[in-house]
Amino acid sequence: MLLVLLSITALWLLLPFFPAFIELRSRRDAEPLPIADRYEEEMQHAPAQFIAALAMTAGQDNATRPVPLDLANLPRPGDPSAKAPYLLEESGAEPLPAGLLFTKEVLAKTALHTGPNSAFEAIYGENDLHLGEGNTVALWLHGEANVWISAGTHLHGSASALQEMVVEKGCTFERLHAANLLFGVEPALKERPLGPETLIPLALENEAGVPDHRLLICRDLTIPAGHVVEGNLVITESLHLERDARIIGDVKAHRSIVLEEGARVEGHVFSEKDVRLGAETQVTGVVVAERRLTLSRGCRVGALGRASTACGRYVDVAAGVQVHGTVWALERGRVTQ
Amino acid sequence: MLTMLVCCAAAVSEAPAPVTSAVGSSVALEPYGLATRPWVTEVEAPPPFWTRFDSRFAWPVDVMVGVLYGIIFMICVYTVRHYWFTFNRLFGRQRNPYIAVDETDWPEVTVLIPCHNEEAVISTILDALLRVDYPASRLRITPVNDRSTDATREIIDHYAVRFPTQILPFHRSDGPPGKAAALKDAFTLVESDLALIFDADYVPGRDLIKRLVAPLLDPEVGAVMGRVVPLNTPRNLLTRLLDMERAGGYQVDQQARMNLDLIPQYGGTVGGVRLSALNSVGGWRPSSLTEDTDLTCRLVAGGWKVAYSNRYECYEEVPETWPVRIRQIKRWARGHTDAALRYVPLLLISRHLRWRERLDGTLLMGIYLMSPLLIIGWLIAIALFYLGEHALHGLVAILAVASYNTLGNFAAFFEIAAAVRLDGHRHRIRLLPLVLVGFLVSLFSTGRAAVSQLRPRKRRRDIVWHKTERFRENGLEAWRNGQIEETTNERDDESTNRGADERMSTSAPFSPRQSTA
Repeated sequence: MLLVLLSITALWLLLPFFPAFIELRSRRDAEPLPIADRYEEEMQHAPAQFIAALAMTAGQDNATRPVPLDLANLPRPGDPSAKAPYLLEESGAEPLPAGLLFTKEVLAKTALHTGPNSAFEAIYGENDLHLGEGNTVALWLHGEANVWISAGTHLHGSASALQEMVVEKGCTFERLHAANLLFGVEPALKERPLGPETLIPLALENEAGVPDHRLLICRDLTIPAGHVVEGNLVITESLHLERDARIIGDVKAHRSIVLEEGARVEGHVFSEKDVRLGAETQVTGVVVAERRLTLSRGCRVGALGRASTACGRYVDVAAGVQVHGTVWALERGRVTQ
Repeated sequence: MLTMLVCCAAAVSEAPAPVTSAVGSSVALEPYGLATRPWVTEVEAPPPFWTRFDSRFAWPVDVMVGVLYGIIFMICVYTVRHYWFTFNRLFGRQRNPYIAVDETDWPEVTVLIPCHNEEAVISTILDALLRVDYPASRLRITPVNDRSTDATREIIDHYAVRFPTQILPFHRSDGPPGKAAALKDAFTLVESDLALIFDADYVPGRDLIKRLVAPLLDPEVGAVMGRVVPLNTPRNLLTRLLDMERAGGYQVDQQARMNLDLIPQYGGTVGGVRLSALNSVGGWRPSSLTEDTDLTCRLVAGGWKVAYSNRYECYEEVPETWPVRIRQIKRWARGHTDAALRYVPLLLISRHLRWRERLDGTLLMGIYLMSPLLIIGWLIAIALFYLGEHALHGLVAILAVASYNTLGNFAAFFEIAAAVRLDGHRHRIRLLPLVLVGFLVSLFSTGRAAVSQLRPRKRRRDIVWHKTERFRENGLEAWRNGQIEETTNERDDESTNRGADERMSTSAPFSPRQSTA
């Protein structure tokens, strides 16, 4: 009896070890965790993969080769040919008809102008791309030249252009990238000239008297109008730059950062909460808001030839904003009316 | 041992109170028909043995009970901490503020590779670093060769000749030994404000340098840390267990600390530091066994932040034999405990830290001290049981359950299980019960290391290079083969820059050796 009890107890205790021993022996899941050389979120990742896949199928006569687009007879999602990308070799000057649904990637060899209210899985344009009003792109969009996104378009995933991209009012987006990224149809404002300034001297050293990389300020900080600060700042509360104030250096605030009209930061801007860049403000470096990023009319991020990134969980961009580089909304981005 | 403890605890908690009143027992047991049994009514439990000698012997028991209370409290604190971190990773908001930094004017950066007799691995990391997508004009690679006696110097010099603008080696032949001392000397030659550090057995991916530099654009970040992923996972039981432990440590612990704005730990490799931050807190401390922990404490106490993200991943080689693993963890425990004794007061009084950061820093520093405490707790619990200390039976049960939770079923195991699932593995999680083996080995190793830490300083060994043994068999051979191939290529084509990619394909970091599982 005792033996039986001991056996049952031992079996009971060893029970969790049986799957372990089986896995140890069979090694079904023993490979190292794969590390990606490039992340899927990277702007050029999906278009590059698409082109690489096309290059692999070049010269082969299989079902994954692009099929020439016959607008009069578009394949339905269930058709076997719907598995292949659409190839658009000649689109003509007129936009495509309205309300089309493309369930595979579109490869446009020439300039493409889509009609309103169409939906695409992905578009690769070897020339200019012009998306009509109310379009939806499910995965990605890439233009080798210029891209124009008309009002009310929803861009899921990434949208990139090698040259210029214009995103009109009412569009929503996740990741946008272009050498010159303009929001709204209004032309970008000219750079605001610097007015007379007063320099605020900073003592950049820590409590031990050792030279420090940055000045640590444990309260709210306001840079008065027309004043300039030179040096990196870390503020444990909020930072407020009044009209035409300027910081030459990087800034970080644990709470919000507000730049009023004409203020400028010649460096990077990081906030653990919100960042609001007022009208005609300028940031030459990266802008990171862990919560909400608001870019007001006429503000500018980065510089021509010096690409930068503006990102936040929620990004609101007004018309007239100009960004050189990337705008990344981790949850939702929109071009406000 | 755990099972024994649980059984003991259960036995104590369920043991009947000594029957001292025959009449009372008869009354109570009569309805069950037991009163007629003579052994029930006549047995009288003996008094605790110390009371037979002198009542003054009772005070050690009180001390033991007090210590036990303290240990139980600490175990509960760490258990709550494990749960907090795991739930945060599973259900909380994740914080990766720098992951979206896609483009910027990338600053100059120096990559340092401390190495001591690394002929088996050094060529692989140099090849990998030559392939990264960081602007070449802004990237300097400095292998820090500290008195290697093998072919490390030869290999490094060969690369330096081929890539003179990118690879600037630093050969060290005197001065105090040790990684921290070598880095301290090498840092005097670094011209950029940002420096990344990789151990020689690591294999960085193409975009890793950008990923690690992005957080350092934040003026508050003094150090950045990436995730370490074991590459030789399939080798044997130990490597598979270490893979899961590493997953728990990085995927859950470190990322949760980042999410909760606590203190992610700079780990000394797959990471980087800002030189101005380093200098402002006194630079490297060459006598430190774990220069990473040491630096983390001083940086955060000085008002700097350490940034971490799971996305900054890099392969490493984990120990494949238990003696190597035990040596490694003992070194970590000694260095960590040394840092704890030195810096916990500094963390607690730092005016730059919030209370939760102070608490997290203290718990982080004290983690290796829990092993000896836990062993002491077990011994006290067992001793009290055999001393007949009945007043404790409830607490002993709590200790048993809490210990089991911390070591086994729930807290730490839950953390590892969550990490494995977050990594997307399906079958690996079945190895979870075997993690107990790794825990017990770590427990006794770190316990022993902590005891050795209490020895007088003059009896401790001098600081030396505590290099973890490399298991890559064909590193040097692959490099030599690659060199021959490369010479042939150069003869065919005068291009000198194309060897790197080719060598990457020829120098597979691990040979297809049979698993010893």
